[in-house]
Amino acid sequence: MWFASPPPLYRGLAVLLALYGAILANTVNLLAAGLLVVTSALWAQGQLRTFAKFAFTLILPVGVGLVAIWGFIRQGAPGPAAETSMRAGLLFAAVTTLRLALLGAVFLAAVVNLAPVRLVDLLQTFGIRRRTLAIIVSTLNLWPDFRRRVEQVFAARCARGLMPDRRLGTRVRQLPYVVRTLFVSALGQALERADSWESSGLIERLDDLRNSPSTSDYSRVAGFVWLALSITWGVAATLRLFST
Amino acid sequence: MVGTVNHMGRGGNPAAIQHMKDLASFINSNQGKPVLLEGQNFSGRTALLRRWVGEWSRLGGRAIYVGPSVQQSISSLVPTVRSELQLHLTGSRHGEALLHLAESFGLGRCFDQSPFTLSGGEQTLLVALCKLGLEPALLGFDGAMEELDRQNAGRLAEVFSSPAAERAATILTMNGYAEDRPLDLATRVQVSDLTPGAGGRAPLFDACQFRFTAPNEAGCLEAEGISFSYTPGSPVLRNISLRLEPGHIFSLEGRNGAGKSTLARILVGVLPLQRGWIAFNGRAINPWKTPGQIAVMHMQNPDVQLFADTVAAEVADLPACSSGAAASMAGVLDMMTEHPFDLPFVLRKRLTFSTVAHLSRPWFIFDEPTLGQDAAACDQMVAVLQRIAEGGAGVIVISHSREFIRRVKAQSLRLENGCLNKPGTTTS
Repeated sequence: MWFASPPPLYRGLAVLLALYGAILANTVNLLAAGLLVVTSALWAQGQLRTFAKFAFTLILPVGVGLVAIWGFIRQGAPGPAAETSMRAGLLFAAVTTLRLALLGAVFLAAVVNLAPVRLVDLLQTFGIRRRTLAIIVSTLNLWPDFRRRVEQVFAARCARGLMPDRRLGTRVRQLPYVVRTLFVSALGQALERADSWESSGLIERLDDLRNSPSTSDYSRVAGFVWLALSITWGVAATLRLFST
Repeated sequence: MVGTVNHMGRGGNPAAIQHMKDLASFINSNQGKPVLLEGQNFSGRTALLRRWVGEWSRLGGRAIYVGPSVQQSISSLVPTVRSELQLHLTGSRHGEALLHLAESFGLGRCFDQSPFTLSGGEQTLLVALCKLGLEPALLGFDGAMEELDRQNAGRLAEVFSSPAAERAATILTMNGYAEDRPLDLATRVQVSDLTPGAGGRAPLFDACQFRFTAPNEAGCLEAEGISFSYTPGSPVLRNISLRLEPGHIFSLEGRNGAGKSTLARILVGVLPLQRGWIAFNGRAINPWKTPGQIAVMHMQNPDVQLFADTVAAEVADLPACSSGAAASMAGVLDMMTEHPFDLPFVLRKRLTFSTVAHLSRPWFIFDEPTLGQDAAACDQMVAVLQRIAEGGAGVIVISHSREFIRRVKAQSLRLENGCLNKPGTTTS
């Protein structure tokens, strides 16, 4: 889809501006508006479900905790000059939660769901090469690698009859075995893979991926749209900060 | 020429220099001609291959080792089959040809999947083509061919002799029965000719130690209308129906990626039933909710089925009388304090086979049990499977070894295009 394919330079600048704006924005309305735009982009990319999962499992519990601590227990925002009232505490919790959600959404929309070849292209645009490139790319692959391994170990324990049912308690009791297998085998294989990257010259080949045909079909229009949105967002956040 | 390669030396001593010259000569004279390195388990083939690959790499040449755990040879740098191929084939002189080969092997339909979601055989094909794209001088392909069906193994052997591999000396090892080796194109070399006296004491796989525990209830395993797809619109299994009587051995056959392991995983309860039903002894069951209670499964990759810190702990959840027997049968009784991951592949595979075989269940599924096993060990496995069936339990075995299937006298269940042929035909 054209909207998901801005050229790497545009994508990188847009991400930086979006993150800058998200850190600067300090009102619920502004952050909510930013979040609305990014979630719309996620919807257009077909990633809304992934974001919803992220929001419910990570952002929501953090938000509830912040509301409880700053809204009801401390009843005020942190910092010596901050207002001390339940409203100020709740406002602080809301702003922080929205900011986290926005940062996560920007990262998901712009980096995490990036096709691997394009991720390499993006990183190379910013001068990241060889070893550093391999470290970043393989680190980003660690999570899916771990998740796959967890599934494999659960499957293998099911297959051996060691997980007699799928109740939560039973699954929790499997965790020590999962973690043990995960770390022993995953770390061992990571070391073996690192050797194999070196001996096969794969790290140098990551550089070659940049010139492969599939990286050439970027949409300049998407780049302009991304950049325009992020500039608007960055300017709005800056103006709002100085007007308060 | 190869007879002098065994003089292993280190540093700059004349023996070491002579050895490297011999290795270079061996590689040069076998470029584009695969060599089948023959020998039994523990005869030193893996050690020799690893040593050669290491030595050639230290000299600055490109040498690659692919072991029987093919997953470990997937780069893990990129998440899809397409990008894995791009990573390896971009800039390769034969990149286009290898990409076409990947499509002709049927990998085209998996291009957007993670390489780790492919079947074992598909991973082997992917890894082989990727490694050839790197244009190594020496490619050690240790046991990985055993995961391929006969047709794909034959075709891959041809690829190793094709222009795409003209600069590589490919050294293959294959275990199992000689009858299963499709490598007419390969030069055969005995490992003992290259490294006389290599290989230590071989732990025996001993079926006499097997202690079968009869299940509390034996019964017929039935399935009706099972369909399954990993991604919507691409069914792997279509309307599978079967009725399997206990006390028999069934062989689930089909090409790489045909869905054999998927069907087995549904019967065990590792994958959910998307459509259809399963019954045991006349009553409907849902294995997904109670996995591994009616049927247990020995998985293709032993590394995911080892959970403990020691071999002793690995067999500890078996009944007391069976745990010693399991270790003894696998030939690891004197390695009880070792970490299972420190054992060689062949023993890890035997250990997981043995622990599953010593469980007491009405049905057993063995997925590629013979991987990495020599003919003697395969014969022991045949004996174990037959004793399980004689004890009244049912056995389903998935194997690309026709000779193994012939020896266990299995009834054939053939998966083709997601559909199952009717059971009842005894393989000849």
